[in-house]
Amino acid sequence: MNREQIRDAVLETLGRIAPETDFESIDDDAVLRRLIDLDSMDWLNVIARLHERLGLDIPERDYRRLGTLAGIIDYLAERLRGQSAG
Amino acid sequence: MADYPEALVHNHYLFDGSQVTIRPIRPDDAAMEQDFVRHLSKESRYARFMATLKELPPAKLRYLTEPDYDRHMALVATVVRDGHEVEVGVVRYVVGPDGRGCEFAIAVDDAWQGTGVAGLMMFELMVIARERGLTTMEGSVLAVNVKMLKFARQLGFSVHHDPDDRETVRVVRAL
Repeated sequence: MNREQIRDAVLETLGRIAPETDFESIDDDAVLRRLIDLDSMDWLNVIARLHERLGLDIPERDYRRLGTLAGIIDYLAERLRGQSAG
Repeated sequence: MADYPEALVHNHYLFDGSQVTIRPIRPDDAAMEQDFVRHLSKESRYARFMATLKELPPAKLRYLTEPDYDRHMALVATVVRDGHEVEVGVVRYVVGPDGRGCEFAIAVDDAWQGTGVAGLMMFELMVIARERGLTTMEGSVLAVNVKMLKFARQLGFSVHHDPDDRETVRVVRAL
């Protein structure tokens, strides 16, 4: 899965939780929870859906790396690379 | 006194990377629990106890901190601040007379609302209740507590309005 595919997967997941958001103009470095008004339970749902979709366990200690779209893509790309290498 | 369920002590990370411990409450947490209640905002205290109180009366404090870990389970979320353990949230259930359903309650320090700690505590509480064979969890929520009602729905609870009681609503979910 390349970065563009990961980005699409993340945006689709976010779109299901926050369908009213316009993701066309999203700034990859903006703090997502502020940008799209996700509360903590919405955010746990995003993580659960990414886990289901990508088959990756996302441990709680890594949550702080998932604040921005760029951060999520970097994190997932790194984890998926590690998975395929392992 | 009931044996302390050590296996239910868990450490968690929140979204900002801070660590919390979620564990069954103990009788020696009474002072910490009282401090927690005193520091809640008036609104949060009312939402939890549905009464105007500034602190817990001794008998209530004893009841809340001395569960039997069987029909009454309570978990606190704590952080370490200046070398001291500080309570930032508490959840509990009490089993109903039929032995199959339970009633839950939750309170979170105002500064810790929105951090994810409430969801983590409720997930743990529901797992414990399910493992103990309970089949439903219910709660009473102030009808004006929009945040709590949204939270309950996100956790899978359905909301039931009582035509005879406009102040509170019942939230119910199967376990």
